[in-house]
Amino acid sequence: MLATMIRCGTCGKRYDYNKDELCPRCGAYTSPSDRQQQMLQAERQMLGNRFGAPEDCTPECMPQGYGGHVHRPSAPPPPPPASVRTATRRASRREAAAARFDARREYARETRPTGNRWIKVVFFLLILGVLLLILVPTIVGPILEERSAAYGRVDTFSAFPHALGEPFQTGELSITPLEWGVIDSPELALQLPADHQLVYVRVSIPGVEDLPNTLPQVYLSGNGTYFRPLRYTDQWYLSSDLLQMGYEEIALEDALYLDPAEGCFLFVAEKIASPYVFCVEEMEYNALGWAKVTGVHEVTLDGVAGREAAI
Amino acid sequence: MSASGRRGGFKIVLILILVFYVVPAFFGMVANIASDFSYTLEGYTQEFLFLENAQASVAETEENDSDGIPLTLTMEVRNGGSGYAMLDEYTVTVFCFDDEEEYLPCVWEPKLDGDQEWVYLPAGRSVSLDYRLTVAPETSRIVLRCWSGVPGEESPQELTLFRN
Repeated sequence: MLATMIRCGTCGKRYDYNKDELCPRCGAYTSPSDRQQQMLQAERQMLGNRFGAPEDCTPECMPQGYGGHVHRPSAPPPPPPASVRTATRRASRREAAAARFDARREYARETRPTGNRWIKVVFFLLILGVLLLILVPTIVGPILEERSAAYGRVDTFSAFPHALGEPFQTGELSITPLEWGVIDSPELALQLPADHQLVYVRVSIPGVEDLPNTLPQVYLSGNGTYFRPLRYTDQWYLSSDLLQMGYEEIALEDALYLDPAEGCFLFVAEKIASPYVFCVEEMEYNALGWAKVTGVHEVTLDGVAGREAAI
Repeated sequence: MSASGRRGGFKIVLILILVFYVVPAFFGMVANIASDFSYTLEGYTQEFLFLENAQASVAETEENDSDGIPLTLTMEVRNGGSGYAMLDEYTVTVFCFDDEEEYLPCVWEPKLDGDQEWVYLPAGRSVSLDYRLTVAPETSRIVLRCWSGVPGEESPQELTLFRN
């Protein structure tokens, strides 16, 4: 049978009218054009001539003139008026097509694999999770940042003086400044800025099981200027010489799981007449782990430098 | 190539894009957001810089600059947050205005410690900054602006010096 392609008047899908009289996508009925209807009628007539022979006809039938008989179709019932006939035919065709469409949909629903439903649920949860992950930090994040920053404001700032060799406590850490000195090496001095020198403070820190995320800062103060500890990873050109001289670097993080940690904080400090002050911040933490500096432990380095004479 | 062959090739390309680009990008994005959020939960140690005790005086200089008045500007910057701050020559910026609130160009140069590009300022501490400044004779107001806060979200704090 030839395909009679028509376009659905509702959704625009093209489909074969011979196969589906209703649109397979939306189920709407669209009647073929006049030309297509003529073609369909002609096609049905042709099929009727070929296969629609009277029941008394057998394959042995021979045409008239060859000893056979003449097929005369029985008189058809009087046709109804043309308008009624067309409407009836269209209605019955529409009902049949609608029934077929419903049956096909029902079949598809019954035979659909149940795994699809789970995939949909998982996909939905995944999308929901990603949305939450994006939206929650976007909305809650700035609020928390503001709150934690406000918590960290320094309201009171106290100084806690200590002497060299005297242990002091900051949070969970117990720090004992053992000795200090100036590393007076001409070779190293060439690599330092003008009027600067290398100052070390050797400390001992017993190991602890856990450390907070925000650790106190360690620094050297002198004449209104502050100096950060030198990190060997940043100052690689100094590190090998310093290690050879026995100045092993230490950081507060080293106290984690170590028992005890001992090493040097090294500072590239400006040469000044007044004594340096070794400083370790005192911090306070809230239940969320937010940190606040409340003061500073100060050790004035005005005694005899530890190994100054030996270098 | 047949239609089914083309469709198969398209599917392979789609799968390759999904496997090597979309999926890693997706998980990278999720991990990034999660780490940012955990950092937020742990809390910021933000620095809050406060400008204090600013003073300006006419500098005694041997150079006679007819284009402007040389000044020495001294100010203190206090870190009122729990994080340390790194000050550079742009942490405090200088703006000059005349009586009619018109902006006047001025030349300013911070005198940072030694040859340092940065000045380290721990929490709760103050540091003194000196600026060399050359202002136009009609300058009546000098505004010092200090930027403070998390990088990208700094807010300005201003201090104004009026001419006697």
